[in-house]
Amino acid sequence: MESETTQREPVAGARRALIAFGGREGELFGIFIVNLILAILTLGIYRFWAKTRVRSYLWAHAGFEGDRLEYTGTGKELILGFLIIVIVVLVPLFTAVAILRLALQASAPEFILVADLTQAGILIFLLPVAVYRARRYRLTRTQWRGVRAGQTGSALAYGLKSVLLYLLAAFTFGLAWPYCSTRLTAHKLNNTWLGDRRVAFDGRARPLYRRFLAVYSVYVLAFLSIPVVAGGALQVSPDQPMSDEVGAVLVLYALLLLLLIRIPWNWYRAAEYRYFASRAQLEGLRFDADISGGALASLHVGNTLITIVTFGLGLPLVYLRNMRFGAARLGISGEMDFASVVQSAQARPRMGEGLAEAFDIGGAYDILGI
Amino acid sequence: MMEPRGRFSDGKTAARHAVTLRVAGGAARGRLEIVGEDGKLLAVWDLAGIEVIDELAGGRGLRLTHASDPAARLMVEGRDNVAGLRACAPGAFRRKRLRPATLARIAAWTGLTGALLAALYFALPRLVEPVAALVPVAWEERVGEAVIEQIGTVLGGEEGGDLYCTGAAGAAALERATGRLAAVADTPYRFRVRVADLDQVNAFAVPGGHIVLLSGLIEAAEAPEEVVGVLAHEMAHVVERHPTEGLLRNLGISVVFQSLFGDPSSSLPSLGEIGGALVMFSYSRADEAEADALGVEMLKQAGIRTDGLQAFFERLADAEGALPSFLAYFSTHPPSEERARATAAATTGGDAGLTPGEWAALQAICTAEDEDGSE
Repeated sequence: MESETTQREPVAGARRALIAFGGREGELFGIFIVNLILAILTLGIYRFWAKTRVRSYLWAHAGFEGDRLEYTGTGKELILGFLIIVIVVLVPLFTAVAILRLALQASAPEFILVADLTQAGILIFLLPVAVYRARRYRLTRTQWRGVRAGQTGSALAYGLKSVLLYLLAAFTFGLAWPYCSTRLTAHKLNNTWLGDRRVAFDGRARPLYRRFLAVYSVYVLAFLSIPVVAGGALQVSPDQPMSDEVGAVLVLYALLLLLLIRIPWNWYRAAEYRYFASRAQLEGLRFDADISGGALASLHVGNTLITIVTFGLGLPLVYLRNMRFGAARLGISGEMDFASVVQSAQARPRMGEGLAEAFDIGGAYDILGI
Repeated sequence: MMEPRGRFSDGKTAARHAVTLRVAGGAARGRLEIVGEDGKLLAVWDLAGIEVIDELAGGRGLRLTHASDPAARLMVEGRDNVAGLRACAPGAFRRKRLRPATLARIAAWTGLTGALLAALYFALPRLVEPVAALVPVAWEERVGEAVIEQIGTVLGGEEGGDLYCTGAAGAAALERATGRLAAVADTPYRFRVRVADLDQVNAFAVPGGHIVLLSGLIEAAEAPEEVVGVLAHEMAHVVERHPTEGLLRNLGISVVFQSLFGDPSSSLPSLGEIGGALVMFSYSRADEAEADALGVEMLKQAGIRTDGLQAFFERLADAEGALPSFLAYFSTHPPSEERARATAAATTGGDAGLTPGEWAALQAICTAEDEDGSE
């Protein structure tokens, strides 16, 4: 079938797909294999250009309102951003922690935990900073009809907000999570721009709580089962080491726990996507996400299986699956006068997502990054 | 034939103009005329300045811009339009191949990166010496102690104490020889020498004056002055602060590597890992030559014959096939000629460093009962 999906003219006003995606397996695999070979030959240094080529392909095959997106980032920006972060942030940070550790080892070994906690604290702060900076880089390198997208707001402020909200979530045993998540999403979306137009988001946490509490109760049950199972195992096999049968049951149980944590989360996350999309607006454009928990779970399980079974060689399939998932399920309705959208005057970061690259936080091919 | 059609945005607003495209003036000096629906000329681009930003496989779509107006975009979608446009000016509207200038730039950057990594590799060891001089001896001693303990746990099984031999007479012999050498060394370190019950022919110094001789080395030695020679060599490393420098160098390398390639969310190497690396790590040639020279000097001043290390080295080098583990230790040490020159002053003057009785006790340090029940 001749796929010219990116050309199809949308019907103004009616509900239509947010993204028409026309990428193909063969083409993306071609790029991926060449990237892989070059990355191996250059001891990994090529990965910055590799990422750029994959992004260019995905963006160029994603159409919005009848026109394809364009990725304007370069490998050079990415590698410079990465090197700057390594030299200015990571090497000084790790050197300081290493010296602190050695000093504590010599003078007060019982406080070595303090050094580790300090490092963990700094990293927990730097992760959201990295996410926000990477999102800004991606959006300012995303262009449509010659007009750039963008993101305002300070990454450090976002990092600080994240840490405070994480603390709130921790102190409430996770119960505050829908609130935290909504605040962070609001921060990101309300700072998202297309040209001189800003996205408006007015979501609140309350509508998410019904679904959240259902998932949460599964977690509580899973958590309560731990002492029961552990106690049972000790009763059946009180001597150490325990018998092989009990050991096998415990391993199965641990796997089950892992699934109980990972799988139900998709039902909550799907509710988030649906609700967040419905509360976002760009001028006259309204968004919607037709995403069910089951669909999201099967997307993630499938992606994980593909990655594991192919030892990472199937990653292009994962990228395509993600794009097609979004294309099939995200929608817009309403109208917007694009002719009046003026080119963005926002300052663009000159260099790429160094921190995110260093932390390898994923989402590298996620255009909107929500 | 239908004129090819496209969509044009000027890069100032997201307005999109449906346009028809015409090439005028022939292929050589040609220009592309971009004409709006109302017949108005929106832009005229000379063909030489046109850049293809991307092209969908199979000529399904083109995205064009122009050097004089890099923000503007001309989208030509669908096979008919792309083929139609290309038919107007054969050879134009193609992606540019890599130009020699671009290739040269890539080569230059690759070379620069390589040079930078090489500079880092060579500069790091030199940076380490002044930093090591700043480390207080008390720290080194505590760190060294922790490393010694860790090595004991890692290599000696659950009971870390099992690794280190506790024969009291042997320990006393070792302590006396160490004391004689320490008396002539100008150093703030307090030396603590242990024998580890391991078959390899090896010995190493840990920061803070700790030295470990492996029992395999004592077994391989035929005369006491050979072991005492190795001991003097390791003590010379300590005096020169080589273990601390080595530790810092390893730490520096791991910090740089972790930053560049690693997962920074995992924590830094633990002392156990550093200890493990200490067993494996090698000093530079210059460090070895320094330790050789100083070791000989210390032996001489202590009145001990100085040919032991040299004899040990040469004899074992002949038998290297039989003792592969020996290579692991000496492969980083200077080749024999170099070493012979460094130890040219080697003399047979002085005693063996240990009395025959002490030598026998040292040889039995790992098999002897722990007479008084303590180390």
